[in-house]
Amino acid sequence: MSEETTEVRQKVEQFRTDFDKLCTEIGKEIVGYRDLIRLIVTGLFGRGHVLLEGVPGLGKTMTVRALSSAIHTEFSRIQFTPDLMPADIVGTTVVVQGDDGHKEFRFERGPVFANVILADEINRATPKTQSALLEAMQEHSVTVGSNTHSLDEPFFVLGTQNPLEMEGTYPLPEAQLDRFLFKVLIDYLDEDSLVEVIDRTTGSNNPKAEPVLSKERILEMIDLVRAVPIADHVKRYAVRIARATHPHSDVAPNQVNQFVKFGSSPRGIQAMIIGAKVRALSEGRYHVACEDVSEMAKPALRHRLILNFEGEAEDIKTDDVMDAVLQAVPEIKEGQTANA
Amino acid sequence: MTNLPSIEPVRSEVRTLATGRRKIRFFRVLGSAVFVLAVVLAVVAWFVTTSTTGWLALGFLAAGVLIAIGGALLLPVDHIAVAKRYDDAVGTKDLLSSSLELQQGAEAPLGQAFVAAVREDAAAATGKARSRDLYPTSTPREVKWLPAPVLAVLVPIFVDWSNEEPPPPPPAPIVRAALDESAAWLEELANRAEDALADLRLESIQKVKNLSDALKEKISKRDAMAELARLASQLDKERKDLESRRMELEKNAAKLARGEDAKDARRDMDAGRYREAANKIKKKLAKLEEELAEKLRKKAGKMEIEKIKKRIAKLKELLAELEKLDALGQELGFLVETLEALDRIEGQLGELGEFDGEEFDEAQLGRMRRPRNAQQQDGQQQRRLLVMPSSEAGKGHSKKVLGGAKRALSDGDENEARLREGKGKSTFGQVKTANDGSRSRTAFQEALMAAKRDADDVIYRQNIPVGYRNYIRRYFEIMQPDDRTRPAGSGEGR
Repeated sequence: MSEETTEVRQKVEQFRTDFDKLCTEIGKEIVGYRDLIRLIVTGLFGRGHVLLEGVPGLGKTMTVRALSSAIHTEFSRIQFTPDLMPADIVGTTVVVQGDDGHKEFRFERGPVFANVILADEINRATPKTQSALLEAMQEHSVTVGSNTHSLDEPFFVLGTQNPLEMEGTYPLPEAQLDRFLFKVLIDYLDEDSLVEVIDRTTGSNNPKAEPVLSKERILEMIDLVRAVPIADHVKRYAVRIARATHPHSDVAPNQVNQFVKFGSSPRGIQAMIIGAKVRALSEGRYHVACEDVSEMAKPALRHRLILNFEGEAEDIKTDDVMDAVLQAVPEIKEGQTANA
Repeated sequence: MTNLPSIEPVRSEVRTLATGRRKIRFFRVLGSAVFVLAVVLAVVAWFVTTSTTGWLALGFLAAGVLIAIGGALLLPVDHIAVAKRYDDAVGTKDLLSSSLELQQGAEAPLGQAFVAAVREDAAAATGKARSRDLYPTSTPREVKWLPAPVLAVLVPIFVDWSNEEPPPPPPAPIVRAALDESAAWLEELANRAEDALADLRLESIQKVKNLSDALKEKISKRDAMAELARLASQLDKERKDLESRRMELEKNAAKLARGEDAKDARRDMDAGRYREAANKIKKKLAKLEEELAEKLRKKAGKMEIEKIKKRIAKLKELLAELEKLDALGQELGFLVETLEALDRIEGQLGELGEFDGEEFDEAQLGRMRRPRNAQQQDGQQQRRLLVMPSSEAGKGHSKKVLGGAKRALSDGDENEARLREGKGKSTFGQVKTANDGSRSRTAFQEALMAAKRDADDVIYRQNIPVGYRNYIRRYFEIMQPDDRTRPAGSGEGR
């Protein structure tokens, strides 16, 4: 071990420790869902946003609250309803009168001006309202009138969706779904976990998450993620996975050709790579492995595939398509890498 | 700027693994190639001989080795893929493969530090696996199935071997003795001819001597019959060539003999006595030369002298033709005698046991099967026959089947005459002709010679099974009368 690497080894070890600490802290309030928590935290450190989808009552909102409790950041919750207006999200300009009677316009910040945003039931608001948030997610800034207001970093949006009760909702268009780094599916807990949930939520013992990471520390960790190197063959593996989601490409499996209308955009590859870097660091590694990429493939791509009519009619899930893609794409293609 | 540690330990490890990969690939490709070629050979073996199959097997094996060498040496080994395989086997999660690819020049100093850490960890992670841990060394499926095409190749070889004819049995003592006697007789014939035909070509004599030598070797009766037939065929061809040459010479001599000078010799020429004719021509020539000398001394007229000279020249030409005819006649005589001898030997050998083909051994027209001990008892008599074949011209027909020569066969006799012992059937018929008691318009000797020539042609064409030839030959010899019964004026003839 040389002096040059001592510093980076310490940083990586610290990252791993803090990552685990944060997950553990969140886990105080949330029973089970270990993978969900890790994905959400990965999204945080990947400087992206996460969409949670699950039936009501599984703890989506509670998870986000626990996250916000565990980090020293501002948190705001936006409950999306059909009558929600964009100004309700981004803020609006109001006329205020000073003590001297002078009236002026003042921009009142909306709930989007926080570090961690819970956009609850995002699919219930109108597209116009959705786009206001989505613009903020993409640009990390809000434009009102001619003024652009930057959002404080870190800026992390957690959207939730209910797959039931689709009537009267406005499903996010694919172009806007693309803004989310990951889409995480929340499923039912097992029996033991449910028992513990009952104990916690109906008993007197309700552990609360305490803040363990500061905003600055989170920003440092976000910067460290960007510094992780990735080998060429790992990058190509991620690219091949994304290409395999496109029907009639040379690597696409039969299920993609049969059920997929459009495959993933390049944002999907970015999401996989970013998520893989975070995962590598969270395991104390200094490089990204193909295993990291394949683990991030489903969360990163499941919401970026558009099924065709046949896929919809057959009730094909994008996860099934992703399983076929991962099986069909080899981690390394002999002869296509440059020998060192 | 962080100084990156050397990647050489990882490269060296990967090179070692790549070499091992090539070796494993060589054997796997060899196994697969040999399997495929064995399947091809299993099909081809049914259409070629055993020795060809053997050579093909060696060739295919060599081809398989070359293919395996090509596959192992010529196909590049991807070092990153090898490193990845190592990572998967050891569980280092792409550490070695990433270290080989991550180069100097990462954007941020921190990036370089990461690369340095990766290289350090990769170097520490080497030496934990060998090539056979990474690549399957288990027997490929094709090699496991290799016994199947190999057995399939052996099947036609086994079929070929089991259908091989057994080696011919050693010749029975009686056959050996017969062959030795035949060889001695042929040698005697050749020596006699050599003395007499010193000026003639000796090729035919040499062929007879060669056959004689061959018969003295350890040869089976079957091979002896083949040799006899082969020589007979060659000599018969020569005989035909000489016959056609003789006909040309006879025509030419006949033209030259038209004048008065050859009047005395013409009769001898017609009778085939060319030596006598030549002597007469010589006498005539001597007379003419005396006459010429006389004329020259007396200084006779030029035309007269020229006339005599022309007559002399013509007679000399005729003499030359007659001498050629005489020599040709002797050579023909030798050939015919040899052919007859060969035929007799062949016929006698055919009667002995140990012949190829039961139908020939057993089929004796009009004769019952002889037990083996009876055959051995007759051996002495048969040996005598071989030693003096020319004095044993024919045995006559078998009265048991053919009955008296003048009696027509009844239906019952016809049936009886069918082959009794042999496996095959044969039929025979009889030709009944009218006999009006009139004189024949064709000279007996002429008809006889024509018939004999035709019979010889039939026999020498070898369309007749060897065992039958002697009987057919005897049949025609029956027709040939002896001196007491020859009609008057029939003349000598060959």
